[in-house]
Amino acid sequence: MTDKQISFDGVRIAYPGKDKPFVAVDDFTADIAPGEFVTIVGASGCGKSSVLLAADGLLATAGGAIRISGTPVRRPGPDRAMVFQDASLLPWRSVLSNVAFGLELQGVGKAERLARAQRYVELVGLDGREQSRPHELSGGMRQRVGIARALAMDPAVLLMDEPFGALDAQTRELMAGELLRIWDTDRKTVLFVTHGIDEAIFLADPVLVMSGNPSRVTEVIDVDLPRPRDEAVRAGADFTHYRAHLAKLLFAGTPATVAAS
Amino acid sequence: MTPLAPAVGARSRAFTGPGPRVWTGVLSVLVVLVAWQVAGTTGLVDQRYFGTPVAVLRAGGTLVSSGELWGAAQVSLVEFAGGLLLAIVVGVPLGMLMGWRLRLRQTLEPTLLALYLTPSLALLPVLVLALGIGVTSKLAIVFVEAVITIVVNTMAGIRETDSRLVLAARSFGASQTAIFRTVLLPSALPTIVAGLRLGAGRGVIAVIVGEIYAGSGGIGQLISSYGQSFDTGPLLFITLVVAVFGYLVGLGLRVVQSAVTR
Repeated sequence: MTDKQISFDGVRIAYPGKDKPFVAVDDFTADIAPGEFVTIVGASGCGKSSVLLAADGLLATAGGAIRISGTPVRRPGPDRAMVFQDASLLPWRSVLSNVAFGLELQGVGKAERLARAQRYVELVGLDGREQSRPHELSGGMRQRVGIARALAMDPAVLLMDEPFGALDAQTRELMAGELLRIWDTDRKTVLFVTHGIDEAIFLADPVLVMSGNPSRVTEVIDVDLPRPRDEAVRAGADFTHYRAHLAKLLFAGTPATVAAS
Repeated sequence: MTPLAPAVGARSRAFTGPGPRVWTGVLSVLVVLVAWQVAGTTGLVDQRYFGTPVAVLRAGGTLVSSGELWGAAQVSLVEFAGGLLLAIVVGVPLGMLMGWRLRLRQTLEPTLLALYLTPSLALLPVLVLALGIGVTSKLAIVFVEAVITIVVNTMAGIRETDSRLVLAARSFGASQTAIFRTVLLPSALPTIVAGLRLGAGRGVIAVIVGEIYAGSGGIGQLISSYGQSFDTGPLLFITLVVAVFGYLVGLGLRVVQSAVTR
């Protein structure tokens, strides 16, 4: 065990191009301590989701190394669990069965995985909806199922790929608060990708800002706001300060006409 | 109004019998039958060619009571069921593999598409030459007609699986076979059953046409012989029986399809 839960060391991510590979991310370097809640922000298409997929082992890197607790990432493993933007629930399965899905794939016996799934269904506040199908749930509820499914794996690292990106603004703020409440119960290491400035600050210990072409971490903002955080934090002067700073960074590379609109 | 009200209403309607839409359908059929009967008895149309509903029913009674219909139906049923079963046993696994494995699909897809566009009933003379006029050649034509449709649909079902679900399964450490079992197969099931329905429909036509062309028995041969002797009553009755049979097979598979669709 090192003091670094996740380390990104000069990570390079490239996609096949017409003539030569298109390098989306280059020299992405960051160290994340156990129990830290890290958000990654950047413009759409800057490769922030790719970094997350690479950390999960779903996407091969073209250079550099990603280590989880010192072990290089080669493929997905039970030490990491991902929450996807669209929740990616199996539509033909019940809520409970979806939450147990990861455990099932890990070979956990039926009785035990259902019991564990039940606990996490309750943790995310969906008790009573165990037998519902995903299409019977709201977007926010589906995402709660996605979070429960990931947490049920009891991973060391929770990877979240714009999990609230498809939700309306109000639900989104509500879910961010809920996520912090859940996270407070066992403070896993979280890597949370978003393009929402408010969300990035509200959740994070450090915010990693990605920009450039190819992109990399261009700034790390340490958010020094007391935890546990509630909605009142958003109204504070410190929050406003962080917000203005982050907005300036993100719009720095944008043409003035766009930034002004 | 309580939230439960619509559900209760929907259920009670199912118990009170068919809705108005069904009755309009039944009524339209009755109108056609009456018009047909009147046109035949008044001599408006020639009964020798078109028969009348009463004559068709009477002929049907004779066919049933003499055991002629059932005897022929047994032959056709064996050919149809055998061919279809074989097509399912071969077509579903092959379609799954082709949907799942890129290399296999690339290898077999051109041939498959060519066969899909071929009017395979044109192969009938070859099949009869090779397999004789007995049960085997008809079983083979049912198989050929049904299997392509089943393979194409099964393959499509697997391929149309939401790739995000596959990604999620991979993220949770699923092996290739686990992905197939937990994601691809359940996702494709409704499309696979739809393919079976289409394949069965083609199979019904194939067995009849096969027997008409070269039959040593069966419903198609009955149609053929009554047709050649200008005996319109039995001919139309048998055709009706085939249509009803095809409809029932489709209906049965439709029930299966809605059972596996969520």
